[in-house]
Amino acid sequence: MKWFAALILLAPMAMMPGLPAHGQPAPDTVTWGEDFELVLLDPRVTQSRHEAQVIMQVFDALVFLDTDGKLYPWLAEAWEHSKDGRSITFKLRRNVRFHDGTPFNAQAVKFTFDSIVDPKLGSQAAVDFLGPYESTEVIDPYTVKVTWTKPFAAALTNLSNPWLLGIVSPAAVQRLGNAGFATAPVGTGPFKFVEHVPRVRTVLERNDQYNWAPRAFRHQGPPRIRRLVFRIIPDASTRVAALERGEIDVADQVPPIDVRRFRGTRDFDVMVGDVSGIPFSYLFNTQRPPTDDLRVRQAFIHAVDRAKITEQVFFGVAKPAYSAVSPTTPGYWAGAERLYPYDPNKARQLLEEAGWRMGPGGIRTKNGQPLQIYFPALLEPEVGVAIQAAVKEVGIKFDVERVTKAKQDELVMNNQYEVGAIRWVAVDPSVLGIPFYSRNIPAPGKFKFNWSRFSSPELDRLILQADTTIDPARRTEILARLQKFVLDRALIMPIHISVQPIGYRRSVQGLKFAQGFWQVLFYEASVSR
Amino acid sequence: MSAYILRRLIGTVPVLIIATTIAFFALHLIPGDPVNLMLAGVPASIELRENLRRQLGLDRPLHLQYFNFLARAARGNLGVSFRTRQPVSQVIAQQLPATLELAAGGLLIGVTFGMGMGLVAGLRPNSPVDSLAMFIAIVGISIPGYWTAMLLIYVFGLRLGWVPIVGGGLAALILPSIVVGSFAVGDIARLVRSSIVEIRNEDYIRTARAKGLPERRVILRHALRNALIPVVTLIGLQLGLFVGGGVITETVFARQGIGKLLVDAILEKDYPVVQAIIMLVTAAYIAANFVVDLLYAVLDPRIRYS
Amino acid sequence: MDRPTTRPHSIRPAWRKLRRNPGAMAGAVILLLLLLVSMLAPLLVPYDPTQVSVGPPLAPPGHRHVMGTDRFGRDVFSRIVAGSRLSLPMGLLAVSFALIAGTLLGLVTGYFGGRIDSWGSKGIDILLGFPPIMLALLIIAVLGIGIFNVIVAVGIGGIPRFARIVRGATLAARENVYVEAARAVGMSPLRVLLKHILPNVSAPIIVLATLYVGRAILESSALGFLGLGVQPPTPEWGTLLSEGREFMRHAWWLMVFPGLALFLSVVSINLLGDYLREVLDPRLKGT
Repeated sequence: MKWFAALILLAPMAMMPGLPAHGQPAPDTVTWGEDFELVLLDPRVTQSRHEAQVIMQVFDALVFLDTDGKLYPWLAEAWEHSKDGRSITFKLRRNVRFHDGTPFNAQAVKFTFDSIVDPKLGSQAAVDFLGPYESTEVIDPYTVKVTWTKPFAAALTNLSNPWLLGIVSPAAVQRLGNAGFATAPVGTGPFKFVEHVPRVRTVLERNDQYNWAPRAFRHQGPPRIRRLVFRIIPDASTRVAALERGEIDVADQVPPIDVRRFRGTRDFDVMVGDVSGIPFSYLFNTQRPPTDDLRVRQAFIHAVDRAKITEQVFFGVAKPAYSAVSPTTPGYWAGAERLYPYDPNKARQLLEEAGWRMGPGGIRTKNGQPLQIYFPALLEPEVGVAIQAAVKEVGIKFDVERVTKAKQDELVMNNQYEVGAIRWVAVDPSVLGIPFYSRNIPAPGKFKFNWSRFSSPELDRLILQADTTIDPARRTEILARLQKFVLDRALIMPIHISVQPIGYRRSVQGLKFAQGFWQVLFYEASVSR
Repeated sequence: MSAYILRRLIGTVPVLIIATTIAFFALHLIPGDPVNLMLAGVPASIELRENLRRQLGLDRPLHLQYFNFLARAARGNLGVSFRTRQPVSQVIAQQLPATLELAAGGLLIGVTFGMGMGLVAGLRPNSPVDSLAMFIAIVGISIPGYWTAMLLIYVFGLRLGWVPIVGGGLAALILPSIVVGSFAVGDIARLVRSSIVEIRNEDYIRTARAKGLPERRVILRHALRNALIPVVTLIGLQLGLFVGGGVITETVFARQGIGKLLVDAILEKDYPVVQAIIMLVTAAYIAANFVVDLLYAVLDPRIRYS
Repeated sequence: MDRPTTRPHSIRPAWRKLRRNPGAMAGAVILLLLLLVSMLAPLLVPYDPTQVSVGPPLAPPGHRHVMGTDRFGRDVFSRIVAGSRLSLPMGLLAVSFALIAGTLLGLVTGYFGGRIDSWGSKGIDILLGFPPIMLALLIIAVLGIGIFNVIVAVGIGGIPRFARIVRGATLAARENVYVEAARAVGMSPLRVLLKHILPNVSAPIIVLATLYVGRAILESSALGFLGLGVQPPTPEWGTLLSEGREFMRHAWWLMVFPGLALFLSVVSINLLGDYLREVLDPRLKGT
């Protein structure tokens, strides 16, 4: 029986060697490792920037906004604002076809926008980005006039966004229904949809008819690669390992510590995008003690060395943030950088002034109560840990509690928190309305994002002005005032700029960030083997 | 015998109903509103949320929702996932194969190595082989599965590159199966060993030996057969572990599966999916138990069902 | 002796048996060490376990930090020592919870029988078949993240096992002459349970407890690994392992040492458990 025993115990070792390591990918296919599950691929409905990654390859928009802020014609060749600033008339490009062969025309544009505002569709984001939409008028098959109820400053920026306001094929929607279209999208983009296996992969293929790329691209005509595969790999270390092993070519959201390893190596490189919109920030609840006291809020901000913490937590890949929008967002106010320097002594002074005296265990007290600030942490708890240590130095007990999304939402709606974390990817500074407009204060049953619960007519006025001022110079000035307003009152503590590190094999060339620096466009991508 | 089977089948219905009821009401205890969770991070209007709530039937009173669910389930309609709007049966059907693969792999490894080691150890108690086998067994039941998983990925996936990181197929199944099966290997090996050690000295074995039958035949025909009974019980009980052990393993190896689906569904309050999975797992457990009971009858001629 | 109980043998033969069994000796020594470390933790830690930047981040094991540092520059050795005060008691408390509740349930269903037993058994069966991790997840989802909730979640998962065994033993003990006599005399059910039934079921309970402690420690740390256990910056072995997983390729020490701590704890408990079972009744197999 001894041989039997030996066999059993040695069998596993005999199995191991000789297993193939990994297959060689096809030369005209690029595989992208996606960090989040993809469910709805309809630009009119989805709110996920991950789904946007796929949608952007399949759909085109009326205009193209490059990362340097320049606007180019795309599906619209020319446009003109009306005198009252409430309408834009677009002259559409001819000889454009949807992937199902039907022609792109004014009717398609009208259909897209009208369906977005129809409650039956259940649009989760596009409906807000369409702004105070009134109507779309078909003037002739290639001319369309879009009208809003009041001047909409973000109009062209938002309309440049294919993953929100990309134009859909009316024929396909009618044929498949809204639900069917969301899993088999049809647009005019450089890639067309092939298959979608939930939680596993989504596959796109080259659109050989594609001939209407915006002039921002040097390449014109159909894309160079034939197939684009999106593999869902939610776990970051697995994704990175898959990239290293060649099982994917491009990886989404590479952890900062791995960015350093990939940069400048022979086979790989990393492109890091500083995301536009609202950087990762804390919002202070002004309706609950102790954060209802301005001095406490300001002390908190002064007590945190944001540059050092960002450097530490993100291994030098992300930069600290100082204003309510990130520097790559139009209208960024650079003056914010000087408002709250790292100054723990100033923090201590402010707290003393506010009546908080140093107590047992190094935590300040007032009237027998400790200076305790509660933060239900859903996002980036590791930043919370670093900040927890920092503010303890000046006597603040920062209570970081990891919670599920459900729990966070309940706490937010029921006003049971002192700090909430927010970050928002956006191209237009109108995103500031989301956390600061008075109507966005959450309440039971109403989940909105004004988590500082601050309401003031002056602030609302500033926001509305910024949203309706078309002239860029004027708008920048109003936005600067808006940022100064919220920062002076310490409603928000910006911490770090969100980054999107994209790791890729050097054999893949031509990757380009889309506006906002989150998604990547594969139109010009090519593979050299 | 067929009457027995029928009775058993009928007996499963109340169990299933109880399990689903508990699950249904437990879900409603979880804080959070599924609609708000679905529209995560979106400044959606009140009307949009109400609309969605109506569409999903969440505005009706709780007991009505429950009865509707039961009625539909009885007809085979498990409802539609809140998150993806896919029919739940489809969602589960997509994830099930990966979990079954993993459970089968774990079962295979657990049973073959477990029985093998237990057999070898039981036939030679207190020998070096016995000590080695029992050492491996106790390691198997003491080691945290996710730690094993991490170490295996590190050594065989990252450093040596012998197995793929992502992707399906047989190669990618090896490491996860080892992890899932490792507890079973230990448990089964110990059980088989002690069964065999005991049985060796039982009367009917001595009789068989006295009759002059070759040792191997004695063991294989008689001892093993009876040692199998507790093992089969164990496997039946372990089934829950295989599916459950899958949750952690699926997470660490970044695989698809029912476990991961359940975790996500719970966190997002995707009621239909959670309920369906609970029903599925309970039904699977009942079925496994049933098969185990039938196997008893095959293994031990003294057991008969009427 | 009239009572058909299984009592542990007297001490001396048990001690001799221990010395002859190298596995159990090793287990006992390791466990003793771990318990000592756990109790003396505040004195043993070279650094404050939650203090950031006591060293450079992600430093490999060396003179100043025997087990290296984590991403915040915290000393890993200190965190693991401090973690012993959580990971070990959590498992023990969960088993206690399961033991008490399960025993009660088993006693009641086994003794009173009838409809109580019928429904109780069905409930036990349902819980028994359910994968423990899934059950724990559901419970945590309802109760929320936290140490106490983890104990409850793992404990509830263990109840059916204890209930089953106790029920079986209770059913057997109920037939005992002494019990029948006591009932005939009119003794209250509570006294019968406590005086006659309970002593008879204590052996299987202890056996099951020894088998389950290791599992309970593993299960509670698994929940910590999934991020459902302690809150930052509290160290707990499972949570430390999930941190280690993130940096697997860069800091192997974050992955190896917490796992080793868990493994050693559970293996020593299991070795001792095997020995204890032999001492209590060499014929008992247990499942």
